[in-house]
Amino acid sequence: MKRSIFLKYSTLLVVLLSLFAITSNGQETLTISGTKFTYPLIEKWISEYAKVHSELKITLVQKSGNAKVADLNIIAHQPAKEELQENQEIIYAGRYALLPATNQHNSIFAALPKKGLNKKELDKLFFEVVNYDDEAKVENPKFTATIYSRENQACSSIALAGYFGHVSSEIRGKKVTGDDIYLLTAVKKDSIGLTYNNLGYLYDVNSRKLKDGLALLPLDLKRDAKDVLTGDLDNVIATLEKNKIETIPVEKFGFIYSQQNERKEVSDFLRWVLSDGQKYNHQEGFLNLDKEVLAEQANRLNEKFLTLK
Amino acid sequence: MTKLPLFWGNYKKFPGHAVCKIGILSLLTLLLNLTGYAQQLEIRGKILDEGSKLSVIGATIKLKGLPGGAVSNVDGDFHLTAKTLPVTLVVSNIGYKYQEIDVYEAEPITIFLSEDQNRLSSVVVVGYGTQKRSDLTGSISSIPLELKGLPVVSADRLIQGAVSGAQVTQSTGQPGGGVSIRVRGGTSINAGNEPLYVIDGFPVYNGDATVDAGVTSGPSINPLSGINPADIESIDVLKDASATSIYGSRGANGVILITTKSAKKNSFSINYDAYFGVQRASKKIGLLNAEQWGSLKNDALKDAGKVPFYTQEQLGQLGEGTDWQAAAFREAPIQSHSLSISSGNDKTRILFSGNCYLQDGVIINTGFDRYSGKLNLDHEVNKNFKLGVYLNGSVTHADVAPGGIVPNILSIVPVVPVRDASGTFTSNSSYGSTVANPIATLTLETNETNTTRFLLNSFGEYKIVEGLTAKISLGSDIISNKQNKYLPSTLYESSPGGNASIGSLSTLNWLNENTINYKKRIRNKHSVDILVGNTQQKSHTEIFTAGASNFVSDAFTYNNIGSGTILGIPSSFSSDWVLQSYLARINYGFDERYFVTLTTRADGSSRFGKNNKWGTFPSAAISWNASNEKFLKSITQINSLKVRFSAGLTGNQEIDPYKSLARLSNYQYSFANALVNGFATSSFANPDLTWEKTAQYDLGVDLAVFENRIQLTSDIYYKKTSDLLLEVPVPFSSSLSSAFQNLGVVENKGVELGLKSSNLKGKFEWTTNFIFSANRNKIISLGGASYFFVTDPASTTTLPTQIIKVGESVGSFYMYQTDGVDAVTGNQKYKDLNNDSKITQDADRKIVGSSQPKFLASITNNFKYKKFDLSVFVNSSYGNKNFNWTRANLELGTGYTGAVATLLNRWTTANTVTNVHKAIENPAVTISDRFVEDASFIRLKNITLGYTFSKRVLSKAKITAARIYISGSNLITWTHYTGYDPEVNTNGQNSISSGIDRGNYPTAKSILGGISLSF
Repeated sequence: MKRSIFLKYSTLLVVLLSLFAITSNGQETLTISGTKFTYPLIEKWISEYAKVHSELKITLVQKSGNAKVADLNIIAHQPAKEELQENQEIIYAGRYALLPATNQHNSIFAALPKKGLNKKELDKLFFEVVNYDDEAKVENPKFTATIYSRENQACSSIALAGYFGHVSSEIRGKKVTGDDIYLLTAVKKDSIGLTYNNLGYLYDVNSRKLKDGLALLPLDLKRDAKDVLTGDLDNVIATLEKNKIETIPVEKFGFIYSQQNERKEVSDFLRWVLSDGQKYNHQEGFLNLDKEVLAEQANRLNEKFLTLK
Repeated sequence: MTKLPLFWGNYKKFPGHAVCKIGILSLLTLLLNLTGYAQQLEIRGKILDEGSKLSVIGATIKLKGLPGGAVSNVDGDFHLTAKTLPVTLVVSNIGYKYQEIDVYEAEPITIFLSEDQNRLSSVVVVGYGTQKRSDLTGSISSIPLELKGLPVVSADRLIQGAVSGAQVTQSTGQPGGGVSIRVRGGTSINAGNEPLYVIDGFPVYNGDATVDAGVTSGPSINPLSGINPADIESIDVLKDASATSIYGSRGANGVILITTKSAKKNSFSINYDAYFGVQRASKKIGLLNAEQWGSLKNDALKDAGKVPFYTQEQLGQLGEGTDWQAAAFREAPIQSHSLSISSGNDKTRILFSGNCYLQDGVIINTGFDRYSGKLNLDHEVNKNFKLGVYLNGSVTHADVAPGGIVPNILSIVPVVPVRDASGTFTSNSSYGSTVANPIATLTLETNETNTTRFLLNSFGEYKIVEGLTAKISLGSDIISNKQNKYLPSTLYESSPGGNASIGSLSTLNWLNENTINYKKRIRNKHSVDILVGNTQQKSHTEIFTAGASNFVSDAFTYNNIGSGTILGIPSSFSSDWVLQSYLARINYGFDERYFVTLTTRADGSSRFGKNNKWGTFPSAAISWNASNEKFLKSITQINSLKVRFSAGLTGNQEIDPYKSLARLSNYQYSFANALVNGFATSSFANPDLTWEKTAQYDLGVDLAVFENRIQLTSDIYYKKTSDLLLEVPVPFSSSLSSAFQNLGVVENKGVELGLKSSNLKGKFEWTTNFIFSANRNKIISLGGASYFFVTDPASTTTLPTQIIKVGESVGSFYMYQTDGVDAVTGNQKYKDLNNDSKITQDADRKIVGSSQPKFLASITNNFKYKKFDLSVFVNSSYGNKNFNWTRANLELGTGYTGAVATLLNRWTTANTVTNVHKAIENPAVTISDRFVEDASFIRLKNITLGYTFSKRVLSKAKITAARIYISGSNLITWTHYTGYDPEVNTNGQNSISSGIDRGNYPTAKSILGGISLSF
């Protein structure tokens, strides 16, 4: 009997050690975590990077799990001062645009102004500001709608609110947890649902067309920007990269890294993202950084990691 | 689960096939069950406060449309199960915005709740509107939340120790009794000094006479006691000219804005608050017992060369005698029940509340009852037009302690019993001075005041275009006061056959206000708020009194005056006043950094002379929100820093309505041995009589640091009041002794500090609120005169105790100074200030102190641990003096009346080294600094321990919130003052006779148990 137990434990130990050996296998690892709506692009980068750097294993980890110990954290809003620790820096890797979307059967279209919604009208529709100068009164929106947004601390909520001069707690309506993709699920189920979402989720990245069941809210756009609402994903991206459109928030996203644990693998990966990786941005529905900003990121990266070169 | 190993190993080795079958079936069942459990998805999460990132305890999380739910624990964690995803979580917690959250993944979620910012915490009520607290330019203090729930009878008592710069004096312990408030010192000498109260937009002057028909004797009842404190949402005290000049001629003494609760949109709630308790007199004064008094009597007689009253044997038999204080005082119950129902939808909000407050006094047969109701209704007719009605109705009844009853309780001699052998009340004690039996008086005399008051304000507001609104409001304050007094024939102090008097006061005060308000934000940089308006207010008061005596029977009491055989002289009186005003205010803010407020109000008042009916009261103020400057934004430790400065002119019109006119009064003259009525001049015309004008300057700083954990507000101010409405002596040859004129100057200057700190956060919370105020009052000029003496209204025949003198403060005590006791004669010695070897009124009196405190300070500490909360509120006053008339009388040592225990240490031939004079039948001078006592005190004003029940427990009983508490008020007072209470003012709101104690109704200490329920 004793021998049998000894054999069982020995076998288990050998299996575990083998597994460890396989995972180690001389391969360095890099973990990334953060804003989920960027994951399709990050995954693309990881797979393409793996083709040229098989010695590095990059994994995406759940934000709620080991976010703090991930080597790189994705951020997709302008951080408040206290959000970054002293030794943390951001290297931006791209941009994303937020478009207002709704259920394609929403009857709101008939009530909307013909020329589309301007920034002020969007503001009133999506945000609720208690007028403290007056009796506790909330200005009611003109249209009946359920607004869906991510929770107040989510990047897209902060970016959206910030663009309109609000804080995220002033976004009306319901919150959705998990991922921005669920905002579209909610809107598809709710005929009066409205939301904002990024191009990568709004459009089918293969067909480059808007996903079924969704419609974009008409926006008050100048003639040269009309393609944003009528064209396919590539047209939208091209237009947004060319123009600054008042009714459409565009925000940068990037990686937060800590200078405390500087690793060559990190700088190599980021350098690749800022060069070769950029060509996948459009494919996944993201905008490229302006040339100057991109160059600045590369420079900063070089400065920060100079010692590791 | 433990049986599972049965299925491992050789199947054939099982004891029997049947067992095997059962085992397989069991496994299948278990697997099915496990499948069932697998379908129960667990949703775990954490609820955090969005601002502080601290856990939110007690938030309710429900699955929308499904049964069950969870409550977040002390770490903010919760978990619940759902069958499928997605689900919608409904998260709610008091003080936070309600949230609906769709959950699509079973991964742990973090929910950040944002505060449902209470409008009143971010917004402060200002005159004719509200303003963001961060935009304020003026000095405004609000009652902190934790002190709003104190169990008090009237709203003004909530201000005591709660805001800097306001001195609240409870002038009597009589239930429902009056309160006197000075905001930044008294600006006036002869005119009213009470602040203006604005209750739901209706301005009310809270003079004690407002609800006093003039028949009931004893302490006045507070006119504000008709409002249930539980109905109050906020109390804001406006202090500087920037804040008060919008009330122009009534702003000089500060303005107290009281806003009552309204229903919230899209909510329904029922709230019930109740407390029960018991009160007792906070102190008994040490008096001589019967034997000690007998000895004193003997000594006084011996000193006068008379035969002692008692033999030594008789003295021994006197024993303790009657403890009149014990006979008069009692443990008195107090209870209050408030029920409010509030309901609101998008268009209409309605709140109805009712209150029943029953308080027995600590003196027998005294008390105060209130039944009040409130209705607040707001309705949005359409998006541009809204209406509102705020109505408070109350019926109050007070059994008032008759005037002089406490001095009688103390001065009736202890050798007299309350009742004689037959059980009837002894009439009085008569051992040189006659003192009526106070227990008989309290038991048999009717001395009551009944007030019905309706305060109504209604408005219609129309939005003309975005930002521009016009508002018309119409309100009325209807007061009916009826007072009844009856002294039955059996009372010593009654006339033969009994004595009845009744009086009635009715006031109709109406108000119309029309304002136009324009608010605009321009390019998010400039904010403009312009208010213009016109108001008119009119008041009409009628009073009549009647009385009779010598009734056939006491049975009718005051209800059949016509049956009295001796009719008193009836009186009737009416008065009117009108105030018409135009007002304007501009608030301008630039970039949330610089703010300017310009205010002006022109008032036309009927009270003033025809040459000076109109006055204009302008003010200007600036503030700089430095924390919004770029260079300070980087200093994260500073959350807000604001510097304010204001200057302006406000007025005081609180004089009787006809003071500017020549008036005739009726006098009775004797012609040929018959009384005839005639009229003679009682006041001269003064067509130039006008407002007291107070110019005031205020410099203030508001600072919040370390995530708002330390908040400091500090002000320094200077107020100079000129054109005092002064009763100036005129030569007797004019036929009158005085005339009302605008003469003299008074200044007040001081510092105020409010410091609020959040000392500990987390599981154990501790916050502290510290308030400090110091005011210096000085008379600069009396229009040529250098001083005049103040006649004490409570005793116009005695030597004045106070003086109004240039260079000194109002409330200065002016009297002889004692110089010990003559060891040889045992007589009280007085200082001969001019060394003329004589003690004379003119030369040997001096100022020996003032009733004005050097500073006031209070501290409130609030602790919270889990479901328990503890609040400890201590307030104090330092440097103020009282003239203890009660002790002066009880220390005469005449043996005519009862006496204080200090006389045990009196001079005798065996006790020559003492500071207490001998027993003497004619002690002559008594008004000396010996009885000017230090009235500084530190008081444990309130301590409350509460427990809030967990929502999980309550949800079964459909209760949304429940708290129980035990509260103690006035439990300990540290003071050297020897009277009942250092906080005393026999003359109520009278400024120039403040700090005088003529045997006031003692303050009660109380223990209450309370419950608050919300459904």
